Amino acid sequence: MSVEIVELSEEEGDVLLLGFPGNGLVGAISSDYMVRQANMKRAAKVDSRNFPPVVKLLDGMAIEPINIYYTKGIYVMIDEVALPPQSIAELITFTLDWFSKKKGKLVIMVEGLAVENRLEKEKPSVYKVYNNDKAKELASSIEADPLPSGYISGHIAHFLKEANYRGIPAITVLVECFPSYPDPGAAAAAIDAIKPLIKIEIDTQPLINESNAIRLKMRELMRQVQAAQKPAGYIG
Amino acid sequence: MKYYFPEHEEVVEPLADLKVMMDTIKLSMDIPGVEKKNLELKVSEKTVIVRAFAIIGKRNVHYYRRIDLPVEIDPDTVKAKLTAGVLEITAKIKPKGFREVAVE
Repeated sequence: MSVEIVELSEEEGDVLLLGFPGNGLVGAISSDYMVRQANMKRAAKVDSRNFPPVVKLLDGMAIEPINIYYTKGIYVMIDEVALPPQSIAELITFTLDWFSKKKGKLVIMVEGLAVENRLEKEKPSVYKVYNNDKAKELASSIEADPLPSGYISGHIAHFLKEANYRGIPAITVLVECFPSYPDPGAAAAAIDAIKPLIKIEIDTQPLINESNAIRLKMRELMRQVQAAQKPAGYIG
Repeated sequence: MKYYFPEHEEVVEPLADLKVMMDTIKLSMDIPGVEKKNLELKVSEKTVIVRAFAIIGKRNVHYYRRIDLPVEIDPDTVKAKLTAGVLEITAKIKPKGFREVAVE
């Protein structure tokens, strides 16, 4: 039972962004967009025999659907396959082990927070959660309210706890999104929120402009996610 | 509206979400790019059929989804609203003459 991370370059980063296909595919859409916009280079491939048998095709070449990209000190992990909760937990654990060995300074997770009244909001609300005082200090640059008292379950909770065990400051940015549909608007709001932490210039307007095409393209992954996992939730 | 699917063009099954509540149903469907004039909605007591068309980039997109409902609705109570490519349909569930049972 192990996840293998094979590095493809010698670049070293100290900030890691994780984007999993969860609620509204907010994490998956935002990380994919950032990699494209910032022209990031593939830095590592990630795989496990426990993951579903899915490969990504690039001009006929089959590659792993989970990869880590790099630019200017930032790693971004993109997961393009719907994993069951146990596999996501395993992936988070091994990725944080890998990042810890690199003496990583900050890990960020972008996620969707499913709300029923998303259609009524042109700009979705953004919230933040952090795992220690250092993370709280770093998160102060994000324009988002801390989530009020309550509980977080699933892979977000696993992520915050596992990062804490390793002494890595971790921040989860949650953006209100559609409960059942891909939400590029929420992904754009997430990217805008984390900009002060990643310090790379990303224009989110094209993401808004191509929103319809992304919603159409991502619907199959959304179906797979709904079948594979119960998205992480917040109970206030 | 006269609706047809050109044989050479792809038909997309949109994502849908159905919630059955005490006396109403709420069905939503993700049909990005669709304008009201290119949307056809048909309902019966047990079925909802949506056909729609959109142009996204250079792509002609034809949507079709038929949903067989788990409860019978009153078609006269159906209301539908299209906002930013999300179709929301509500309808009242037909009363079934439930009897309250005293618990001993």
